[in-house]
Amino acid sequence: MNSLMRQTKAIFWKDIITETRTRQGFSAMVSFAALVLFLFSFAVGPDTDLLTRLAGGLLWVTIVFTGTLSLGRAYQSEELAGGVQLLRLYPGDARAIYLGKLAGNLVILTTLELVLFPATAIIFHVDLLPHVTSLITVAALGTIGFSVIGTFFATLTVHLRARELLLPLLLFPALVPVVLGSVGATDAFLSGDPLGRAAGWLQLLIAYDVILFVVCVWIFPVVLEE
Amino acid sequence: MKTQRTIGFLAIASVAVASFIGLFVVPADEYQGEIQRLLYIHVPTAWLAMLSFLVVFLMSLLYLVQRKLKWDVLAVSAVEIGVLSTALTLIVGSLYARPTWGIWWTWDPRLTTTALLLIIYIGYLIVRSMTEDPEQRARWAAVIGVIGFIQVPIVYLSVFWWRSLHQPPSSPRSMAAGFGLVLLLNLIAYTIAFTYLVMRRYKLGQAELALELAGPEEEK
Amino acid sequence: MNHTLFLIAGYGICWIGIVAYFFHLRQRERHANRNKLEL
Repeated sequence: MNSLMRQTKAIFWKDIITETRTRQGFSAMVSFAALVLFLFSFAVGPDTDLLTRLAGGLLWVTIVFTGTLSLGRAYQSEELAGGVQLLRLYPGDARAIYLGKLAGNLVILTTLELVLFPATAIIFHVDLLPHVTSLITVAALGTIGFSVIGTFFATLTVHLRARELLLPLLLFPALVPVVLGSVGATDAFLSGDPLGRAAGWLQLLIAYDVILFVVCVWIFPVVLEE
Repeated sequence: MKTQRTIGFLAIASVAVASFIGLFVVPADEYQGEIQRLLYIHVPTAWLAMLSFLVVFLMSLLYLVQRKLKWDVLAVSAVEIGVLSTALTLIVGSLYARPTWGIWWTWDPRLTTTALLLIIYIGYLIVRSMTEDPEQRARWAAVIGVIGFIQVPIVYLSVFWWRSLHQPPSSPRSMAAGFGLVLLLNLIAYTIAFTYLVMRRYKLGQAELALELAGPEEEK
Repeated sequence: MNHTLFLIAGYGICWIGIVAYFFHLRQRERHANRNKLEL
């Protein structure tokens, strides 16, 4: 157990250091996300009521799109070093790769959301401050769900050609519960949760996160098998 | 081979008989009219879609445990026929919904889950088509088969929860007399047809796999 | 809304789909047999 944690940390730190060394990747991602939000607000139009009502949904769609792009880059350091085949030669527990990459993706997405949530507040005329703790909970659970299944499929598709198309194809159906739960809870919280629905959505997210995490960790070594 | 042929003829015969009864013998529903007869194929294809993906799930697990390629061949056979059944379910369902409720589509839990199921298993087939090595292909397919199946109840429950907040679930309507029995006949008939197709596809899969393993230079 | 039309379309598409897949299998079988003979 101890060595697994050590290996996980090693992979995690390697990725984080690589990522922070060249910050272009992250800036590009944030810019992309902001542009998507802008596009959505243009598409919706100037009606502030409509914008406020759609804020939760459009925010999470933006997170999903941007997150998927980010996942596509999750194995870039391995590719640049000499090919994804290197993953298979990894001497330690394969699960450390999954956990390390998962942690890395979580950090990247969380940092992205620190920018996106305020941006949404501004562009879509929503007041986030009264609901900060609730929104942090939703964001955490939703991001975990996204990263758990996202990291998994990102690893599977990294070996395939047309992976930019295959990753969304495999990932999006799996994300339906995450999106429904995150948007449902976000909308509920933003409207003051008059009918107490947020709890149900949070429970769905927790169940999803737990079930998928257990399954993915269990089955991950198969993906990397030679 | 003999068994397969027998099942094949049995399939044609039973589908013919069940369809004849469903279309011409049994009376139409007094509220919905003739269009209700579409349910005699819609429910069977929906049932077969679920059955095939259950089979895929079990075969995927079997392969992951035993690593025998025959389970993988059986899995892909079930997926192909499952994709066919799912697509037919959605199409026939649409054709049933339009005259009955006036809409081609709605985001109700079953429809949404069925549509997502179609996409998940098309993804399964695409990943397979992009992987050359049979063992690798079987491994990744099995992984998708397991995770795909696990997604189904979660997606269904989440969409159910989502929709129940917006509209009450539709109450079951009383159906034409003899509906249950005729439906059962059709269910059995199409299940026999399903079994035949899976058997045939499995045999084909074994043959193709043997060719693959014999050596790529020999293949045209 | 012409119920009969939709009914025929539904049954038709279903059966055509199944038969089409069956013939697809037959074609693949013929292809596989040809390759087997060449081995």
